[in-house]
Amino acid sequence: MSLLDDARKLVEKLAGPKDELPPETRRPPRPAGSEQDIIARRAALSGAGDVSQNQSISYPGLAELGRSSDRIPAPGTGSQPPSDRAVWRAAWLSELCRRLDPARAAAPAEAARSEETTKATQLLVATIYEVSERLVKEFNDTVSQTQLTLTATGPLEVKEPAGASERPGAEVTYHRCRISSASHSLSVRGGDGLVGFFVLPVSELMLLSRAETPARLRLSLRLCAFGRDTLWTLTGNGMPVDSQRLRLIVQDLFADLVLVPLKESAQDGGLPFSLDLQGEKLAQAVNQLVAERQNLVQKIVTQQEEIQNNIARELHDAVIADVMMLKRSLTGDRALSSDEVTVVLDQITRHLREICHDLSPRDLKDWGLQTVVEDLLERVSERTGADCALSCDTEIPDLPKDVQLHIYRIIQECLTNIEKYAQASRVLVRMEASGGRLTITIEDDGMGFDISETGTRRAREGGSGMGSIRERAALIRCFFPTDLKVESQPSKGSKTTLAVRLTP
Amino acid sequence: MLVGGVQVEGTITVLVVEDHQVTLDGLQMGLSREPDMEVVGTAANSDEGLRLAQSLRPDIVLLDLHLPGSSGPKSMIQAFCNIPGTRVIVFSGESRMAFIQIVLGMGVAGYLLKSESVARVAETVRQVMAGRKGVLSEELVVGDTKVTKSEQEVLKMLARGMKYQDIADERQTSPATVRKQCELLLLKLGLNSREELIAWAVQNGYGSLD
Repeated sequence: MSLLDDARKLVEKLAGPKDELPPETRRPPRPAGSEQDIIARRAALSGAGDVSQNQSISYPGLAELGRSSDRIPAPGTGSQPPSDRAVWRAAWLSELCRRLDPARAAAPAEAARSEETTKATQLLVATIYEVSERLVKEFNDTVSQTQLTLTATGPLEVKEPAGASERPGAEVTYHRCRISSASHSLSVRGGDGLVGFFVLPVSELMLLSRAETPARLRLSLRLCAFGRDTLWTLTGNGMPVDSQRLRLIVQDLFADLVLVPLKESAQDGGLPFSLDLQGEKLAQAVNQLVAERQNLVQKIVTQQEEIQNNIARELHDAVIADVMMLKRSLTGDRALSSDEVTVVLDQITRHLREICHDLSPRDLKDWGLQTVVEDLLERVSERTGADCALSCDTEIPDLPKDVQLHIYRIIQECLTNIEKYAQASRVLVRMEASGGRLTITIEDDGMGFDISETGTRRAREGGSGMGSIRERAALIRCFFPTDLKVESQPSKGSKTTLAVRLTP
Repeated sequence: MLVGGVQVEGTITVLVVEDHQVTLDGLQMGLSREPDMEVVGTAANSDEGLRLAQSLRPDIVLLDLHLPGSSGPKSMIQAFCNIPGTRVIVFSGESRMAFIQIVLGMGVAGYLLKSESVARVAETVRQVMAGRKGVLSEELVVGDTKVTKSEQEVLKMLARGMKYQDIADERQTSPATVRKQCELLLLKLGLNSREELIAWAVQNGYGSLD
């Protein structure tokens, strides 16, 4: 058999549904929120299709999953989660290797295999529980209707009587966990390398084994072994499931859990509670929220990349060149005098300091907002020759450290903009705390700008413009009511005012 | 005993708190060679350093600014400065004036940059033991080369005989800000009082008193 034949078969196997599963685990058709939908949506949201495999992008979503991400025995779920295509490829290659290498394919002893399977199943259920628990908490934090509050139960190991097809009296061990709303439960059942998700009425929880009918199975995950590697895949299409997708799946099932009672009560001709959103609309709202979150994640990732690029560039341009020169002078080239070496070392130190200072929130923690802003202004003044001053009469009240950081970054961003574009001769930062209000103004007498076009113009020129300032202000708003006002006219300087109301 | 032109009595006991091992070794070895000094202890983190300082009560603690340990630099320095009979010399890579100003304001006796030689450190230890305060690395006393535009403006107004309040009004800032700027100028210029600062401003062409 040729390699090509083998590969073709493999693709078929991975892509197409296969009838080797027991009938009760086969996924019933589901109109919305099926795994293809989820995956398509995820791809659309995160632009995963555009992410080529060799780009190193780290998804904070994965870090958020923490330990869980290590537990899911899927290929490629390392520190840098791969794109869909990469996961596919890994699985595909792994299977190919197995087929081409009979020694590796030798099945492990049956007992060991079954023990491994049980362990993997238990881990997956535990992971699902962890993911769910976190989502439940997030979800509960956002709803006030008690009918919508969710609770998580598990993970448990349960011995249950086997189904009718087995020997009478035989027992099966299941790993379970459960998320329940007031009326319905999402029951997760894991056993023998197969994990099923059922949505069923709470009233039938007492007789789980009967309540978990095929019609209530939303989807299931199957453990596949590729040689020594194991991988969880979606039953039905064999799509590998990594920790991110698992989270999305669970999220989607949550939506189901909330929607089912809504749909049912809508059929009964009334809603159990007053909520403007229902049915499809609620689903849309949930989707939109998920989309927004994904976009935000994407944005953070992009910004991280940008920062890393900047550091790399600065290190490369400013520091490495100097260090190499020193090395050359030690290893053959004209030896530098110790005075010359001192000059180079001073230069390296200065560059490294600049790089560290721009980044370090540690300074803020160590020295406080007022001092770091003073330092910021001093350095702007050194670089531009402008008259930069901080006016701060009162003690700045103790603020949450995130808020301090956002304020600092807003000031920093304003000063960067002034330095880049304004050609100002005077810059004044004022901090005033009185009457439960903290007001910070950043003022300059430079060229000013047309407010309506700054966002686009500066973004085009590579600056971050007003966008990140507004975003930071929005983040402060998570803590305190906050106003941000930017005033400017061409050739009339600019004034940015950030007002934070600290007391209600 | 007369060492380096300064009269000292007995041996000066020094505790070195520094987390960079090579620097720590260098200081310990270098200072131990000085006839009038004894390194009585070393520590690589602030908690251990503080414990040793409290039990050994050295004359001088040579203290790095950023150390592993349970407290940030501000509270750490405060804790060291509170030990009776012990004087603190900070030995740090931090060269930003805004931060140094705060450190000096907390009552440390000297502030040396890590680029200083052991000989200069030993000299500073002696100066501090002889009662000097606010001993700075010469690199930090920059003279007028690094006086910022904002400070130049303040100097001009000082030279014209303006008070802090008037300067603040003129510059739309607060008197406290002006006072702080003047204190920083004193540091940068190696001067000791407002009078000296005004005299310096006049001498250096920032204006005249009439």
